[in-house]
This record gives sequence, structure tokens and C-alpha cells, in this order.
Amino acid sequence: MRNSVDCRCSAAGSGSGKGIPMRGKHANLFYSILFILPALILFCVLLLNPILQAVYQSFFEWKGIAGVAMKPVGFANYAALLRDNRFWMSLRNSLILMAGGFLVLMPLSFLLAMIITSPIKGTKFYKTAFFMPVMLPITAVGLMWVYILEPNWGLINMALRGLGLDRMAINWLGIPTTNMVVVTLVNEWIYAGLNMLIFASGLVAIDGALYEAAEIDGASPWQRMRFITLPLTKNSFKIFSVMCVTGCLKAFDLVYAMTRGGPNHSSETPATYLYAQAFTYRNFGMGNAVGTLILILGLILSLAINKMITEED
Amino acid sequence: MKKRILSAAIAACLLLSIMAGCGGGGASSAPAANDSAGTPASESAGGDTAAGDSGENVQIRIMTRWSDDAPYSVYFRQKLQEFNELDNGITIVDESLSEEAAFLDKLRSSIATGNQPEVFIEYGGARILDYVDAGILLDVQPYLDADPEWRDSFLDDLFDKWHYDEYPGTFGVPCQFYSVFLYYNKTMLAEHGFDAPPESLDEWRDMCQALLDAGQQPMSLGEKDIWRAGHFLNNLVIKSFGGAGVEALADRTMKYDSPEMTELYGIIKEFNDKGFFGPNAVGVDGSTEDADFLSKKVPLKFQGTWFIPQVVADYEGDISDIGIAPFPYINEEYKHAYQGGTAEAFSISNREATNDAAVEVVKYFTSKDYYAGAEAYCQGGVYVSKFDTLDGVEIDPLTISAKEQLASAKEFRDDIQTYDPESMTMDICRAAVQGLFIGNSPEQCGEEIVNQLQIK
Repeated sequence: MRNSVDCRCSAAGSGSGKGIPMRGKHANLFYSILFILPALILFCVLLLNPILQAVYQSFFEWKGIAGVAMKPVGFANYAALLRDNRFWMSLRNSLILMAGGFLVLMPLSFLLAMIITSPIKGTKFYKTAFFMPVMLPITAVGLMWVYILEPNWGLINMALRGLGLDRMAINWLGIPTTNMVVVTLVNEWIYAGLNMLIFASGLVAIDGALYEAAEIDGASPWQRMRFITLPLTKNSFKIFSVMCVTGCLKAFDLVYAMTRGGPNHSSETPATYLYAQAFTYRNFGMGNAVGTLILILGLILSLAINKMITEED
Repeated sequence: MKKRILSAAIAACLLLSIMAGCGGGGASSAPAANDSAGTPASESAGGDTAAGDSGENVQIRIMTRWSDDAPYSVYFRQKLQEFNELDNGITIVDESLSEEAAFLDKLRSSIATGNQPEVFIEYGGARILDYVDAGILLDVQPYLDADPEWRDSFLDDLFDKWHYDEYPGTFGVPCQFYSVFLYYNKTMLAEHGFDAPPESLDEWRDMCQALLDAGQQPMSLGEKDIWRAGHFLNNLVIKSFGGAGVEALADRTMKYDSPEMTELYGIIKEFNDKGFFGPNAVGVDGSTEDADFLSKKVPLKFQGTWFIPQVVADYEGDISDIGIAPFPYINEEYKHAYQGGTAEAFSISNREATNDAAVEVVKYFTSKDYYAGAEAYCQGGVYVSKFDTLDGVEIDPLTISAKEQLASAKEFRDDIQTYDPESMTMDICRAAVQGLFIGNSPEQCGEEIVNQLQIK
């Protein structure tokens, strides 16, 4: 109400007598800035600054020793990176993670969201149970799965042997590609609960009257899903897609806890590759170049997803 | 109005807390680059960890790999506690991590931020060349010279890996001596008709095959820890070409993808493919490998002398069952060449405020008394110091056997990549060798090493 009064005064007094309304505007502006500032400073100090530093340092060679001058090398780090099979292998593994995200995690999370938003009994229990893996520390979960999947005495292989399926009792984390598939599935196990909430928030926002109307019109459950639920939860799918793509590109903790990117780099992701370059080989310039490329790729893919979904609208 | 004031106050608090956070970061951020006069880069770093000359208590952080439950590690921690109880103005803070990869990651991260511990163990040679070049390590030679008794207490020729032609000085104080042996279970071998350990690789191969044919797993290899096959390769090189081969690899007169090296990768692959290392070697870690030998699951195991105290303490049987022999030779000429020598040394971060206190700590942990106590506590072991065994201490038979065999040693070489001009060669090699366990061919292994070295 006060804003509308200010606007009227400002419009009526244009060219003269602007004192009172302008003070009001300035005050609003001041408070707006004041409230935005903490977040902005946090963003600049903790996010933008490291990003800019990483981009800057990607053009230098540095052995990771504090105080030692960095040597400018231009685009040499990027050139070396693109020549390195390990980098391409890490991108391939990110693609496996993404494929798992869209083919397994997305339908699974959506299904869980449908369950917890349906009028069945015990939804509180289901919510808690589905969300539980998200609350556990990733490293602990990773190690737990390492033990479950241990080839000689792990629970899964013991069970398989017990069932007489000895040939299926393989070294789950020691065979290339199989290890990435396993890590991907564990990743889905962990994050299904979190993504369930994203889809659930979209589902509960749909007006129940739409379903009632559709039911009266004789729409089948599949038709209600196809023509009401899916279109109206499009934003949830957009959020999921962006989070999945960027999350898969920067996946580190679970992969490191379960395989350390091995054996022989077979489960390397861009982030574990970055870590190896920076902290194992003390090649911080290359590490920063990897980080910069992950950032650029993440931005491009996020914008593409946004554009794709917006165009469909 | 009240809401506005409250909101403004919260915003101000947030701002102040952020500013405080930013301001505080200065002390721990990276120091300025080396000046042209070669002032040590790290002198300004980590100064807040110790009071130094002010007469207050000096805090020395120490980072080793002795954080596990092995007898020597337990002894180390006991002595550390005893030191702190002396109340001599120096307090040691233990930041040790036993797992090698985690240890190195932590150390390297701290060096990148200029916040590395005052005392830490490293492996010398090419692995610390960058640190020496950057001036972050203290030259301990003046301290050694000032205390001849301490300097002369070490076994001969232990400091080689901490000397560099282009950088005068000594950049580490040896603290671990080792040599790799083949441990064998006499009783288990006798059950399968063997009354002696294998001397040559061919004998070893035949023995493993015979054991396997009889349903007995010959060895375990914890190749999940990639240094295990790395050590196997070290021994194959040393037992094939001696020290000259190690040097040839370092100066690239023998390339990592040469036919000679490819043949050695082939031996590793053959051992794995035939099942001599047990099933799923790449999924087994070093601790499981140790446990398999100690629990009599396997009769053979190659390992450094650091394993002796663990055998004495944890072997599930009579210690007289166990024997040790040199790693089997490939070329008989190098039968008495060993992977071994100084494994680790204490390096000291070059910080004026803490250098003297750090040297005191290192002296304490490398003194004759310390090692005599270690020998007594572990009932044996091979150490870097010339000390007299304490009265009443009974040395285990494995230590006695190791010392006897080492008396005829002709040469020692540490990890073959320690002598390489590139510090990342070891990690590259070990990862490539791990590829042999997941289906890569020996040729691919050599190619991968050479390609990775070229990319760097």
C-alpha cells in the first residue's frame, strides 16, 4: 500500500517536489542491498573468487608448493588435457552416471514421490525410509557398499555363492565398466530420497480439482498421468535434470570412497581426475584446467536443458 | 520499525562475521613466492603454530605413517606421549596417517597451502626434489655436524637419497631401514613337499603352480593398494638388472616400454592370471594380504622387514614356522641385490621459529635409545641406528635371520622411481601396473607409462 502511494506522488509531482518519495525509494533500495549483500558477499568470496582463481591458475604450471611462483604456460594445460585418454575416460564415466540418473534415478524418484504423496497409509514411514540414505555421510555409505561388494567375503558375493551362483560372484568394483555401473546404482540408492522430495513438491502443487474433472470425463489413470501429472511437474523434471547433469560432472565423494577412480583409472570421473592431477601428481595447473572445463561443460549443459524444456513450453 | 532494526542488525552481524572470516584467512593463506635470494618459501607459513623464540611452549606437528596398531606404531605413540610428559617446552602433536595414499594426499594438500607439519616423513630422491628446490625443507647438515655423536649413530650410506648434487645439504634424517624378503611358512610348504623356499623366479613359479594344483593358494596380493605390485615390479627389475637397471630407467637409457620391461610386466600378469596372487587381487587390500599370511591361509608373501614385528606379534602359530629368504632372483648375478635401504626419513619444514625445536624432536625419534627401546618393544626389527641391544631382550629369529642375510647384500635400491627425475613417475607406473590386473597387456602397461610421462 505504501509503495503505491509513493508511486502516485512521484508521478503527480514529476519535475518538482520529489523529496519525500525519493527518500522512500532510496530507503527501499538501501534495505534491498543490505539484505542481498550478505548472500552476495558469500557468493563472491566462497564461489566466484575460487572459480576465477581456478580459471586463472589453469594457464600456469605450479607444483603445488605454497610460495613457489607459478609459471605461465598459456593453453598448454588444456592441450595436454585433451590429449590425455584419462580425461576422456572420465567424461565417459560421467556419461554413465548421467545415463543412470535419467534411466534409473528419475523414474525411481518419481515413483517414490507418487507413493509418498498418495493417500495410502504409512506415508510418514515411507518418507523417512526413502530419505534415510540422504542423511548418511557419503563416505560412510561408500565404505559400507565397498564391504557389501567385497569380492571374497562381501555380503552380495556370499549370498550369490550360497545360492550356487558362483559365476556371478565377481569383483564388482575391480572390473572396468562394471565398477562404474555399480557406483552409479549406489549413487541412485543414495539420491533417490532427495529427488523424491523435488518431485513430491511438484506433485502436491497440482490442484486436486483437475484430477476430479478428468475422472468425471472418464480419463484413465494413465491418461491422468500423461495429460495432467507429467505436464504440471515439468519444472520438477527441469530441476532434476540440471542437478543430475551438473552433479554427475562433479561427482567425487562417492567414487573416491568406493574406488578412488581405479583400478587403473577405470572409474575415474572428471573430479577424481582433477584431484589426482592436483594432489597426486602435484600438477595444479592441469587440475585447474580440468575444473574449468567441468564448469564450462556444466554451464553449457544446464543452459541447453533449460532451453530445451522452455522451448517445449 | 522494530523488524527493520532487527533485520539490519542481523545483516550487520552477518557482514561482520564474513569480514572477520576473510581477515583471519591471511595468516593461513599461501605466502609470497620465493625471492631471488632464495629465502625459504615456507618461513612465513605456519608461524602461528609455535611460539618460537618467545620462550613459550613450542608446538611441533609430526606426520608419520605410524597411526595403526602395528607394534612399532604403538611404540612410536608411547614415546611421543613420554616426550610430551617431559614438559620441556616442546609439545608434539601427532598428525599421522597409516594408509599411504591418504598420508600423501594430506601431506601434499598441506604443502600446497603452506601449512605442512613441522616434521614429516618422506621418501627422498625425486619424490622430494620439488620441495628441496622450493626451499621448504631444512638443511639438517649443520645440526648433524654440531652433534657428531648423533650423526655417527646412523648406519653407513643411509643419507644418499637426501643429498642432491645441485642443492648442497642434507634434507632428511633417516628413520626407517628396510629390505624386501620372501616370507614363507615352513610347515605349510613341507605339507606340500617343499623343504626350502624358492631361490629363483623359475623355482618360485613352479612352486606356486604345484601349490595351486594341490588346492593351496600360494600367495595373496593386496593390489587394491597399488604399491604392492609396484614393489613386485621393483624386485623384478632389481633381481634382473641390479642397480644399473634402476639407473637406466631413471636416465631413460632403458625405457618403460622397452622389451626388457615389457617382459617383467608379463611376469606380473602371468602370476596374476595363473592365480598365484589369489582371486581378485585388485579387490584385496594390504591388510587382508597380511592377514591371509598370518592366519595360515597362504604360505608365501613378499614384504619389507617392517612386517617382522607384526609376524612376531600376530602370527597364529609357532613363530619358528616362519622363515624369510631373499626375493627370488631372475638373473643369478643379482641374487644379493635387494629392494631396500632407507625407506623413510624425517624432513623438517624450514621455519626459523620452529627449526631448533623440530630438530630436537627428530633427534629424539632417531636416537640410539629410541631404537634400542623399539627393538625391545617389538622383540626385533631392523633399524637405521647403531645401538646396543638392551639387556635381557630376546630378539626374534626372523630379525636375526634378516640381519644375517643382509650381511651378504651387495646393493640396495629403493622404489625404482625414487631415482627418476620426474616426481610423478611412481604414481603413473603403479597405476599402469595395476592395469595388468584388469586385463591390460604388458605392452599396454609400458605404453601407458610412456604416454602419461609424455603428457606431463
